[in-house]
Amino acid sequence: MKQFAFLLMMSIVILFSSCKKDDPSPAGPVLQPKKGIYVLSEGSFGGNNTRLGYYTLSGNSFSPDFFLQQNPGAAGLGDIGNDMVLYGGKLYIVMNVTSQVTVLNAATGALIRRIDFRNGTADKLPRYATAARGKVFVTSYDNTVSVVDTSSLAIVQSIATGANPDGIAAYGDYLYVANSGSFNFPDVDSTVSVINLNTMTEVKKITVGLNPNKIEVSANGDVYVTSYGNFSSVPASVAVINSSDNTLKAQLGAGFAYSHVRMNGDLAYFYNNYGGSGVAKVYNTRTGTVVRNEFVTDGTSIDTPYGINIDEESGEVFVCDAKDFVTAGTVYCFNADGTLKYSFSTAPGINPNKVVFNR
Amino acid sequence: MGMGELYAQTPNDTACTLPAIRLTGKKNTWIMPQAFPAQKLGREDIRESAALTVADPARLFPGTMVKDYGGMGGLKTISVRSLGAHHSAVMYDGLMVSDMQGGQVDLGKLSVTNVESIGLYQAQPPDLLLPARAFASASVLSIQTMGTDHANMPGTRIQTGFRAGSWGFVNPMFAISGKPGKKYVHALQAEYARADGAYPFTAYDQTADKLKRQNSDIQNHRIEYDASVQTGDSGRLRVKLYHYYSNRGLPGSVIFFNPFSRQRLTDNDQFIQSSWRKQIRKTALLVSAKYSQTYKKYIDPDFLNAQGKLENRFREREFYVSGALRKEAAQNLRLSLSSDFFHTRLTRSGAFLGDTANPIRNSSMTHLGLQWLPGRLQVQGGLLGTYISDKIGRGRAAKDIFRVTPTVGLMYRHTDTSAWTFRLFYKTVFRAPTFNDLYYTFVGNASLRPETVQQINAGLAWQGRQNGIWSDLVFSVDIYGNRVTDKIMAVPRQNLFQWSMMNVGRVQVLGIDFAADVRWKPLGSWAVRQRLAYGYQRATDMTQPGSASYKNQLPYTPEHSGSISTSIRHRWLTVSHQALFSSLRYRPGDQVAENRLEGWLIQDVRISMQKVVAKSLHEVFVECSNAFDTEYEIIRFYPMPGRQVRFGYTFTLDTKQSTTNHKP
Repeated sequence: MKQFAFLLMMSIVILFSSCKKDDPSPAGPVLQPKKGIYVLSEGSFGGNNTRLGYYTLSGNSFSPDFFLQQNPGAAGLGDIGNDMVLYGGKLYIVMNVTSQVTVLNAATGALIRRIDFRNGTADKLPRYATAARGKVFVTSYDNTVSVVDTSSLAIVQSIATGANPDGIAAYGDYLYVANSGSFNFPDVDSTVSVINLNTMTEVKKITVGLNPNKIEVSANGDVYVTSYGNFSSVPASVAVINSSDNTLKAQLGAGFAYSHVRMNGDLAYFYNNYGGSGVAKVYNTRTGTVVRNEFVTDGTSIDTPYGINIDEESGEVFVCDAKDFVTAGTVYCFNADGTLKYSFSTAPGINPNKVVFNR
Repeated sequence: MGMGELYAQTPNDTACTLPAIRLTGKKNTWIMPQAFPAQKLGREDIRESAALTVADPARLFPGTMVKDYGGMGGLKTISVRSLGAHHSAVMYDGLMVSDMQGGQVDLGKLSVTNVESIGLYQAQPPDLLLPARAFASASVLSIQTMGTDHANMPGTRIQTGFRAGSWGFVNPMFAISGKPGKKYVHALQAEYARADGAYPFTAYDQTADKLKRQNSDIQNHRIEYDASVQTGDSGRLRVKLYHYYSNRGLPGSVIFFNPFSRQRLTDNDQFIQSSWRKQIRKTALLVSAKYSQTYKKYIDPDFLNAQGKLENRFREREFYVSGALRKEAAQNLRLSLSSDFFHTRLTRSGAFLGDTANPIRNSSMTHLGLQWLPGRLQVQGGLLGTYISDKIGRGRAAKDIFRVTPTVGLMYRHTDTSAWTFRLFYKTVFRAPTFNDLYYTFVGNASLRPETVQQINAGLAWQGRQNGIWSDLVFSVDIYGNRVTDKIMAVPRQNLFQWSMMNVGRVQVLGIDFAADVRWKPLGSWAVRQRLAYGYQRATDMTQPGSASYKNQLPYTPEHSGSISTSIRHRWLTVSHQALFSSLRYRPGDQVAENRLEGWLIQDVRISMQKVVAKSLHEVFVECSNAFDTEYEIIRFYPMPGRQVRFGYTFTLDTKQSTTNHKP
């Protein structure tokens, strides 16, 4: 039976990751200051303990199970919430092991619909989501991107990708999808699928690093792809795709062994979602220079930076600390200069991986 | 009969390692007063407990926890005194059941249909004439099958029966034994079982809908053949062949909104074992050999890889030889020497996560034992030397292990007739890292050291007989302390994909075991017997000061657990009842309400009637496990089965004599 335990463990491991940014369109509306922060704690594999918490800035208080509080009688969100996207007044929560996308009213937290992600009885295992043009795009490990219509809240189309797609970003006329191939390890994938949003078909595959994971787009339209490597001989790496002609522009090289990235305007925050390698490296994508090798400047200690999100309005950086993966996590809010502003525990939520802002 | 009697120490003892001698009508002994605490369940006890597999009666011993993933086919392993399944050896008819890959034996695979007794021995069994491997664990669960027990009678014995019950459970069995030659007896036993296992459980949401467990079916069959040949005046050679096959669904944990699972596991296990026992004046000799092979096939037909399925096949084979000598060196002094060698290899096929090490392990163990019995004091001790060496197909093999570990036990009785017995033991022992610990792709860590356990135990036992309200009473109380160091645990390292097994854990256990066995004074022809077991355990995580779990009770470990078994007999009628309970536990993580599993109390009931007609014995029975349909979990989100009603019939025929004196 050990092998199942192992598989479970690997699944957890494979699921570990933080997530995708909401809408990378360069000319968004002027942002209002946030009123509160939604925190997604992914939970433990088989634990049915994904938690959506809500932190109100007016009261500085945290409701650790906002979903159940707003939906009394519901069974909870389910197992392993990998990602969360706020779009058009709705929260889309990607429930990996439960194999659903759960849609909530973003203002009230009221449950609107649970969208099954299944092929017959087989799980699609949805992973990450992004939104654009009135649709939410969700990668699933059955080698597809599902197109969820935001009014009918149903999967209206399925786009074929490479193996086990993970990170996803929309920019201009294109969707960029990281084909990880994780379940074929060690024969992992190393490509990014480029999908034309007008035709909803894959138009190109671009080779990047081994086992690509996250994709974010900088203010000037460069697509940053972080890859895991093979965990032994090939280190993690960062590739840059030019979105104007969809060609590989650069590989950042040895100083950038990072499997995760989060973008805010011109600034890329590269990080690894495990302990011991610092919190994040800050990189200016316009000048191509490192701003700070270590984002945190006041010595605040983070065990496991499991997810990083940035408030585009204030520039505050939210670091989700998953600690030892079994005990309650903590969310740290840093000022843009890397000094701690405040923090709160996600208890009983474990493995927090994403925050989004309620404005 | 368990090993206490089995390895009886009378010089002319010809009892053998394999099946037990059966003295029909002799009272079962639940508690054995000796230096190393032990309890034993006899055939009647096991039957009365309405057990299906060894995992069921294993719950009745004090201080044990059976980790049970629920269902008919779920994994069930035993942890004794919070040391974990790796530290409990399982002996089947005198030789170890080996699992070098995972290091824990699934008790759910071992049927009780053919079982004569199950004994739990802390530290080690009391006798010295044993394979060295019997001394190499913190505790030994010893299973004795009926083997050729009935074969010594004249004529042929045929036994057939079936059981059937809820959730599509059907379990027919057949046995035949006889004595074809003057010095040759043999027995064949076979059974088949199936169940769809779709038992109801209540949904975890507030709808409280009744759902059915999915993919929880099992189908298995087992065939055992035993033969026994007398050699010379005092020698006996025994041979056993064993075959087991099972195919079961793996339901997994209940995942909200996603009841679907199609993962399956197939087991196909065989072994042949033989032992020869001989007494030459003051020396007893025991030579054993065993070849075993286990095959496991795991399949997930929905796995999202390039093949569109995940299939893993593991084959473990082991060649095992053992020799043991026990000598009456002087009056009151016995010395023993046991030496074992075993060669184990694991091969894996099917593709997932790269290539595999296909490890080979050579192990040798030598045990020097001593028993000194000056009057009312008994001293028993031993030194165990273990040498383990691995070779692997690719990559780096683990370093060789060489260790010598001691055991010492004392038993004292104030006067020869004293009802009180005092005991004390100390043992250091370790478990070697398993093949999975060392070599599993990514997770494995070839630098692991053995996981070490120190045990100390002090206890007393009392036994008495009288003509008052009770007629026989035995009880024992033991206080123990265990320390586990270099505990092997999975920890995330460097990269989240590289979880790795590390020697990081430290555990301290402080516990009390209480066991009692009372026969109430018969009321007319009514006989009432009760067995009690209670365990208190404070099992503390001492791994990392400052961590959230530091000094917390270990996950899934109740502070209080126990059982009360009652049987009432009246002529042809036996009514039995047992209650099992556990206090609350926590799953891993913070010990908060969200991670709490409530305590539970479940009750089983059985009614059986026996009737002798000419040379045959008929038994009909109804049994009901979890009679009050209590909903409980041992592992979070693995709901345990509710009430299962089963009925059955057994027919036993002795061709040459009446079966009156022999229970089926």
